[in-house]
Order: sequence, then structure tokens, then C-alpha cells
Amino acid sequence: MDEITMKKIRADVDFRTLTRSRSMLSWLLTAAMLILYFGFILMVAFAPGALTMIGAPASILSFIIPIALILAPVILISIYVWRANARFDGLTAKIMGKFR
Amino acid sequence: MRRWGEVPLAIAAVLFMMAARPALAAAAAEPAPVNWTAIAMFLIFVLSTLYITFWAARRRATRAQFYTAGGEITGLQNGLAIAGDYISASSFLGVSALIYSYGYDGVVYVIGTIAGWPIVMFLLAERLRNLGRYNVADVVSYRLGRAPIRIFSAVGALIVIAMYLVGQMIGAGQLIKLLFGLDYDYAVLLMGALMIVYVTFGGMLATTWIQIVKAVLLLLGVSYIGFAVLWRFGFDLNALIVTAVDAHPKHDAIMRPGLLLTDPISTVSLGIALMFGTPGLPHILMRFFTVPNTKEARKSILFASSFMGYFYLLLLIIGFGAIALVSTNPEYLDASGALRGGGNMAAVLLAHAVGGNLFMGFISAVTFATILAVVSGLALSGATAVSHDLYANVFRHGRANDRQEVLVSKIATVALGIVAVAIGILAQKQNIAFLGGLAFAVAASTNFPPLLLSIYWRGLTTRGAVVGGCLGLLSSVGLTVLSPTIWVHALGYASPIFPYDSPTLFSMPLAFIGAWLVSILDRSPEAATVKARFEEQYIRSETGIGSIKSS
Repeated sequence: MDEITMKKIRADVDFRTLTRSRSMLSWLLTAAMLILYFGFILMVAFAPGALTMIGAPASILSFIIPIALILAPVILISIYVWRANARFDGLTAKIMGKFR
Repeated sequence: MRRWGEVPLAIAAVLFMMAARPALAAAAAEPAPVNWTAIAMFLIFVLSTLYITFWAARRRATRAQFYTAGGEITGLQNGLAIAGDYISASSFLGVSALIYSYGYDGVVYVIGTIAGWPIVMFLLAERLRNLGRYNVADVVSYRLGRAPIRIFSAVGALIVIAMYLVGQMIGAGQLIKLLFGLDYDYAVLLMGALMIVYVTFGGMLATTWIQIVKAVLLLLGVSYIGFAVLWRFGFDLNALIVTAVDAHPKHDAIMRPGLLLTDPISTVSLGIALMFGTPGLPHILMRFFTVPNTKEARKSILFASSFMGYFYLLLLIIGFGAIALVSTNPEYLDASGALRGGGNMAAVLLAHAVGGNLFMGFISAVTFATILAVVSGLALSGATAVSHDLYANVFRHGRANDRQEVLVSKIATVALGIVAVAIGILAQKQNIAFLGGLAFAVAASTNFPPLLLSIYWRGLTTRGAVVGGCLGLLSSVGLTVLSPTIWVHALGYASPIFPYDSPTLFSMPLAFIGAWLVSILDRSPEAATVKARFEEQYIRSETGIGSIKSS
């Protein structure tokens, strides 16, 4: 890729839309995962008592947060894949068509 | 290449006979009976995988074929292979045993194990696919200095792989001795030999299919155990938990954190290692180069994470099922009330409790298959570090041809296999439980920071990446040696110099800070060049323009 092409791609409206929306989505979802996960880990480490308040002593409700945290990655990844398939692939193909 | 296809079958047949005969004789004197069902099922698995290897060996032996199966793996296949590559025996047996012993705190491990996957998806997978060709070092060295980065990446990868591999080997040897009644040394030898045969003859294609077969078998096996446990309790999860709380010596305490993760700082540090270790594991990241494009890379992770989410949810049921059904049955306990065959046997004994001898044999064979699939992925990725990074890019300055590079890779696989078997046999009596955790800690502190920064931070320079990564490597290994696990329990000193069990809370930030500081202070002309090259890397990482088709 030469200087001029790179400048053109940089200025391209589709390229800007693609990079802006994808980086917003990926950092947003990353932040969501970090908050959920480290929120939980910090509670296990510093406030384990807070995790026992939910549900009766011997019930599946005590595991509702852990189960949600096992499913969270799958759900967040699904959101990303859904958005990427719906939007990013089309934009990428358009950019490729223009500059290849 | 056709005639070579016959070789793996012959070698494996001879090796198995060598391994089985004296071992079976020796086993007669030992308490562990020879489990013929397990051996028969395992033989079927080995024969099928050798057939796969034979089939894969007929492909043209190019670099791209050997390292990445020509980039022709589909998203679904790769998703299964990732699950097969990632779920190790320590995940299956070790984590279910942690739940069996500690309840809630074992579940925290499960959560940590899967928590790194969104990071891999959102920040790495697509960009890796756009920038790299065969392995992660391709990406880190895309704009940074080739020789220093390749050497550093290869060393980082090999250290993580060696720890992971030796840990799996020793665990496997002990397990096989128990499950099959085979002698430890022969078990380790057999596994090393099979691993060498798979990788040298079949390369990535055979490794991928072995991981797929293993993933399917493991998912079927745990589905059956989970279903059977739920059946016993009339599909009432509360009934299962009430029985487990009743049966466990600590009762209610298994329903909340605190039985294992007692130190807050160590807990946070472990949490960081588990999450950021995953995006630093070379054998896992290498799998994204086996698919043709970013769309398939995304699909791989979606499939992989769904399979793993399902697997780990079932692991919860298996852990609590084992408390409820295994710990209450004197048949499974020794005189002191501990599990027969050691703590790691919880899931296997539960398989017996719900499915009898035949099903326990199946699960034992699946466990062996699990180990083989994981060690093959590790060996291939280690061999790639030697042949592609050290030999082709550093020693030959990128001028090696296909034949030479693949040959070096095969030699490296054999060497890695021999070293792993030798260490496995020599270190048989060592306590290796810390190795798996250390591999994650080193991966998070050594491989992950330079990789992330090289993709996202324009300012990263070659020196910064190498210094940061080396700081992470030295501090994670050093602090582990000074920690209670090694300093006190293994070396016998009275008190640890570093008080926490996991180093990552300190070693990973150290790597990032080191890389940042050295980069901003780096005023060399080379630093200016690599920063200038960021623009092109950025455009390619976002769009895939100019990216090399693997095939």
C-alpha cells in the first residue's frame, strides 16, 4: 500500500464508519465483560458475604450469579458476532471493492 | 507422500504393544486393575486418530498445510477444535475436583476459565487473522524489528508451552496408571509417541480433527453424566444441592466463597491470570490462522464459547453431583474417607456411579483423548515457534523454503516430544499442580501485553515490546518461585518471600508499564521507523487489505 492510497482509505467515509463503530462496540463489550467479571472477583475476594445474601442457604439461587457469569461471555460474543455480520462485513467489502 | 501415510499406523501399533505388554504384567501386582473397557475404547480412539493422521499425511507438505491446514477449516470445525484444544484434562478433572472439594470456590475457576474469550473475540481474533499468517509472532513482528521480536516471541511461547505440556504429561501419566492400570513410564511414553506421530505426519489438519473428535466425545460424555445426575434428582436442581450440602463435610460453606480462595489479593491475582492468560496462549491463538477469513474466525469463537459455556455449566452439575453421589458411597472412598485414586477422580467416579463400568471406561478413554488433543496442539505450536520464528525468520532471515521449514518443524516436534516425555518421567513424583496456573500467569504477563500493544498502540517500539515482555516473564516466574507454593512447600523454607499464590496482579502491570516506559524513552531511528509503519498495519488490521491468503 502506498502513501496516497493509505491517505485515501483513511479519509474514506466507509472506512471511518467501520472503524469508529467497530471500535466503539468492541471496547464497550470489553468494558462490560471486565466490569462483570472483576466485579464478581472483587466480591469473592473482599466481600464474600455479599454473595450469600441471595436465596435460601441450599438452593440453586445461590449460584445464579456464577451461572450468569458463565453465560455472559457467550451472550456478549453473540451480540458482537450479530453486529459484525449485519454491519461490518458489508462495510469491509465496500472498502475492499474501492481500494483493492 | 503417500507411502509415509502407512508409517504412523505401524509405529503406533508397535509402540502400543511395547507399552501394553510389560505394563499389563506390572499392573497385575498393583492395586489398580486393568480396565479392559477403557483400553478397548481408547484403542478405537487411537485407531481412528491414526486413520485421520494417515488421511492428512497425503496432503501436500507445504508450510501453510503444516502450520494452519491451508486455512481451509470452517468456523464450526474450528469452534469445536478450539474447545478441544482449550478444555484440558485439568479443566475437566481438576476443576470438577475443585468443585467437589470446595464448592463455590471451584465455580470461580470455571468462571475465570471462560472469561478470557470475550477479550479474544473483541480485541484480538479478527485482527490476528488480518495481520498474521501462521502464528502470533507474525502479528507482533508485523512492524516491529523481526529478529528480536521473533526470538522473544518464540521463547515466550516455548516457556508457556513447556509448562503446560509437562503439566499435562505428568497428570496424564498418573491418570492413565489409575484408569487403565498401565505403568506410568509407559503411559507417558505412549502419549509422547502418539503426539509426535500425529503432529509430524498430520500437521495442523490431523491435530484439528483429533481436537474435533475429542471435543465431540467429551461433550457427549459430560452430557450423559449431567443428564444422568439430573435424572437421579428428578430434574430438581434444588434437590441435588440439598443432598450435596448434606453430604459435604463443610455443609453450607460450599454455597459461598471462602473454602479455597481465602486470601483476597491472591484471589484477584488469580482472576487476572485466568482472564488474560487465555489471550496469551500461543496454541489457542494459532487456531485463528486455520480459517479462511475474519467472518469464519468470529464464527469459530461463537461456536467455541457456546460449547464451552455448555461444558462448564455441566461441570457445575458434575461437581455437585459428585458430592451428592460419590462422597456418600463407601465403594468410592478409601479408609480415610478420601476419594479412591485421589481428588482428581471425582468426575470419573461419578461416571461409574451413574453409568457403571462401561461408561467409566468411556470417560477414561475420553480423558486420555482430551490429553492427546491438547498436547498435540501444544506440540504443533511449539514446533512452529522453533521452525517459523527461530529457524526461518531469524536464522535464515526469511529465506527458508517450504521443505526446509516443514522439516525443521518435524524435527522440533520430535525433540519437544522427547523432552516432554523425559521431564514427565523424571518429575513423576513432583507436585506439579502449580504448573497449569503458572502457564496462565506467564501467558498473561509475557505474551499478552506485547501482542495487545503491538496491535493498538502506535507508540510501541521493538525495545519496548521486548523489555516489557521480558519483565513480565521474569517477574511472573520469579514471584512464583518466591511464593508459598514453591518457596515454602517445595523448597522447604519457613516463610515465603512473596506472600501471594499468583503473581499476575503485579507481573502483568509490570509488563505493560515496562513496555510503555521503554517505548516512550526510545529515541532510536528504528523506533521512528516502526511507529511510521503503524499506519499501514492499522489499515490492514481493520480491513484485511493486503492480507495474505493462507492457502
